[in-house]
Parts: sequence; C-alpha cells; structure tokens
Amino acid sequence: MEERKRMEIKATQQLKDVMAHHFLELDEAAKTKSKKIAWCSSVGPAELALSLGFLVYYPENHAAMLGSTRTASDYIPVANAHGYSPDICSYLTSDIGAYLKGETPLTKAYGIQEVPRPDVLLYNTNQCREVYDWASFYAREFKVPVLGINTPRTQHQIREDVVKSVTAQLEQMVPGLEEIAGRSFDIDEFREVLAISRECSQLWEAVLDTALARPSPLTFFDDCIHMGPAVVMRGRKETNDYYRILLEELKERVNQGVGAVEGERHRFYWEGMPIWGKLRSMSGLFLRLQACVLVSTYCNSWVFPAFDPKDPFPSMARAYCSIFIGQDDNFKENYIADKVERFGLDGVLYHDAKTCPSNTNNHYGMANRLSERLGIPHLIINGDLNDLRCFSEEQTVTNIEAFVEQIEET
Amino acid sequence: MRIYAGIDIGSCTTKAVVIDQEGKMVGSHVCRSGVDYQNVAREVLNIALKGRGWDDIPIVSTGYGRHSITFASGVKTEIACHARGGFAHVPRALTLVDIGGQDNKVIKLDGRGHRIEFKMNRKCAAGTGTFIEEIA
Repeated sequence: MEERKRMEIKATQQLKDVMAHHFLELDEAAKTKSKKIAWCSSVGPAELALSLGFLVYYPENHAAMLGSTRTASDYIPVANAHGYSPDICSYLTSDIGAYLKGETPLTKAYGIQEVPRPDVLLYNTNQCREVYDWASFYAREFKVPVLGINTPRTQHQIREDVVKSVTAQLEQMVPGLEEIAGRSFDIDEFREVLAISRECSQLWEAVLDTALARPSPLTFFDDCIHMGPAVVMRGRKETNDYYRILLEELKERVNQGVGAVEGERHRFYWEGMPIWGKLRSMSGLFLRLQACVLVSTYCNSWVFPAFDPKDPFPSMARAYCSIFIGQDDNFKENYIADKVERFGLDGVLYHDAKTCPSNTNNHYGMANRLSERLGIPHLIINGDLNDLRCFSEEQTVTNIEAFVEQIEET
Repeated sequence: MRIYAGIDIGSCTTKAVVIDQEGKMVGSHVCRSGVDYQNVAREVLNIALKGRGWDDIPIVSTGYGRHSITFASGVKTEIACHARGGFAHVPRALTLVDIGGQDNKVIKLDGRGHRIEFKMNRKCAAGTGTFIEEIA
C-alpha cells in the first residue's frame, strides 16, 4: 500500500500544554479546595459557572478520552453490571464504569490519580436527556446538588417562547450557584466571560473555515483533537490565545497551498459523532485514499454565533437552544446542504453510532433525501463513539474504499 | 495469448480466476483461506495457472485479504469487482447480492454499469456464509 506523508500541525504541542494546564489546575483545586469545581454537560451553562469563580470539568470530555485511549470497552461492562444498559450512551457507561473501577486516563496522561470531585453538577438537556441521568448518578455518589436546564428539542425554528423559558431557567440557577460558590453573582463578570466565549466561538469557526481552501489545511480528525479547548475551556483567555496561534499556522498552510491530505482528490462531510478510538487509523485510511474529510456537524457544534455580552442571559439561552442536535430534520438537511455547497464536497459520511441516536441522523431517510437533493452519494458507517465492540474494522475499511472507488468511477 | 488473473482472498475461502484477453476463463481454483493469506493466494494462483509462470501477468487482488499479498499489481474492493463482473455478464441496470463468508453486500448498478449505491451488513454475521455453515 502506498504510504502518504501525514502533515502534522505544529500547534499541537501548544494544545497539549493548554490541555495539561486545564487538568492540572482542576486537580490542584480538587486537592487544595482552592476553587470550587462545577461539572458541566458539554453545551451547558459553563459561562455562568466560570463567572462565579468555578473551575469547570466536563465528564463528556473525560469520556472522549476514554474513547480515544481505547480503554472505554474495559469500563462499559462495569457500568452494565451496575445496571446501565449497553444500548445507552457509551460516554455515560464508560465514564461511570471508570469511576466505579477507580481509574482514569488522566493518570497516564498527567499523573492525576482521580477525576476532580465536583461541588455542583450542571446540565442542559439541549443535547440529550441522558446528561441528566449521568449527573444524577454522580449527585448520589458525591452528595452534591444538580442544577440544570431542560430545553425542548426537535425545534423547527428557534422559538421565542423556548428562548424565554431557557433564559428564565438560567436566571433561576444563579441563587443556587451563589450559595455553592460562596459569593455573589456579578453581571459584569458574566458579560466578560461571555465575551471571551464569543471570541472563542469566532476563532474556532475561523479555524474550521480554513477548510474552504483547496486543498484543506486540516481534516475532521485534526478538528476532533484541536476542538478540545473550545469544549472544555471556552470562556478563558488562554483558549483564545491558542486558537490565534492555530489559525495563524493554518492560514500559512492555505497561503502555501499545503493540504492535510497530500494530493487531495475527494472532499467529504462527516455527519455524527467521531469514532474516538479510530481517529488515527481512519485518518490514515483517508490519507491513503487521497480523500479529505474536512467538515463535520460535530466540530461545528461549538460555534455559538448568538452569544452577546450586551444581552447575556437571553443570548446564552438562544445560543444553547440553537445547536444542531436540538433541531428538526428540515433544519439539519438545510444545514448539511449549505455546508456541502460551501465547502465543495463530493460525498457525505454518516456515522450510525449504536449508543447515540441523538447524534445519528441516517435513521429516517435523511441520507437518501440529501443525496437526491445534492446529487452526491453517501455512505453509512456503523460504529459507536466509545464502544468499539460496535465497530467492525474490516467492514468499515471495505465500505470506505468502495465508496471512494464509486466516486472515482463516476 | 495474453492472460489476466484475479484473486479474491475472502474471510472463508480464497478464489483465483484466470481469463484470456477475450474474457474467457482459462483456469480457476478455490480453497479455504486459513490464516496465511500470502501463501494461500500463491497456492491458489499457481493451481489456477496450471503451473504457468506469472511474472508478466497483471493480477488484481480483492476480498478481505486484498492488502495482505505483495504480488498484486492492483487492488480493488470486492464490491468494485462484483459490479464489474456482474455487469459483464448482465449488461443492464441491476442489483447484485453477494452472500459472503462474513458479510453480505447489495450493489445497485445503473445501465452503464456504474455503481449507484451499495450496502453491507453490520457486524452481525447472521445470514452470511459462516452462519449457514455453522447451522448446517
């Protein structure tokens, strides 16, 4: 097989430093009680917590680490024995399983012996209902409060009554958070954090949009790694500093015509969750096939155009109500169609994640409708975000190779 | 006479077919794949070639073991091969069903023999060759 050179992104070293700082800071705070710690769902009210002085930890990020280190399958059975079905979110089962076993990939990565204990658990069901169950488990374990937001989903368009409801729920969280934080809420500090988050969102979007170039300077697999700070450290200045460095490097690549995939011939969209344990191998496969997977729903989900420090609570509510996963199929189809046209794509790859129906969008005919509408083929890849027992390596390789062959023959 | 060889290294069996320049089959052989794909491919090809040397023969490999042999001059998925071979015998729009050893494929071709769509089964091997062998 012809080996192709992988173009490593130089900023990755700084990324490692940024992420290390994030976890070590959390670890120190947990040990010394120097700061309060909030656990938060990935599109939850992190900015509110940050403005009250909390450090924020994301169980989903920990779960993604379990997936990417390919250790999730060791822990899922532990959660299954505890009563959690193997059919449900493998982020949840692997994270809870690791907790029950007293292990974490943070140990090998950073020398951290256990995940930082929370003082409060925050959630928003805008992404899925299960985050509430996940938080509730830890609430029982750690005997700490759960505060959260229930957001209606499958919206056809962003409804003002929904934004109003979520705004009210956000405001209602403040007294409870103040009590735990031991300090008063300051609207100006909240505005400042939101401004930093907005800038993070804009920088991250600019990073993703460098993929408009032909060849693209980065792939979806790069995006999954470099999105880390936007997910776990939005609202912090060092995150924005990092994305400026990354953006600079990518712009330079674009100027020099350097592509992430040498000899890029095909450009694809990835719809659905990453298969965390297979990022590197899939990256290598597409590299060999001279195909660049360069746009995704998942990585674009951390772009929040609605944040507005002048109108903090309603704008945050609007931003978190507007995420892709919470909208109906009409919205999703138009979203993907827009991206396909903007980025000049040749095909759409749908990841049918066994344990994440919320992020799987090929079940109700969308794939066929979009292929007919856009005149480009699609491929469905069966797998899972974390449970690699649901993934068949050779079948996936055959599917992807055959898909590229099909496009080349057209 | 110019000849061409194709080897399908499947999960259960390895097949070799030799055709002449007119597409007529001049040799073939099938045997269990086992675990050593390189050696079984050589053996099957030798038998299909009836002892003829193969240094100058274009060889395409396919099947699960297609990347496991070093002497193929081309590699294609079995989906591509089935499409090409099926259309050669039935030159019109059609749907092919391949019941393989460990997976099944359905391949739709248009009137020009181009693939419109294909589907493979998921991880479960129920209904595939292995399953049928086990329950037999």
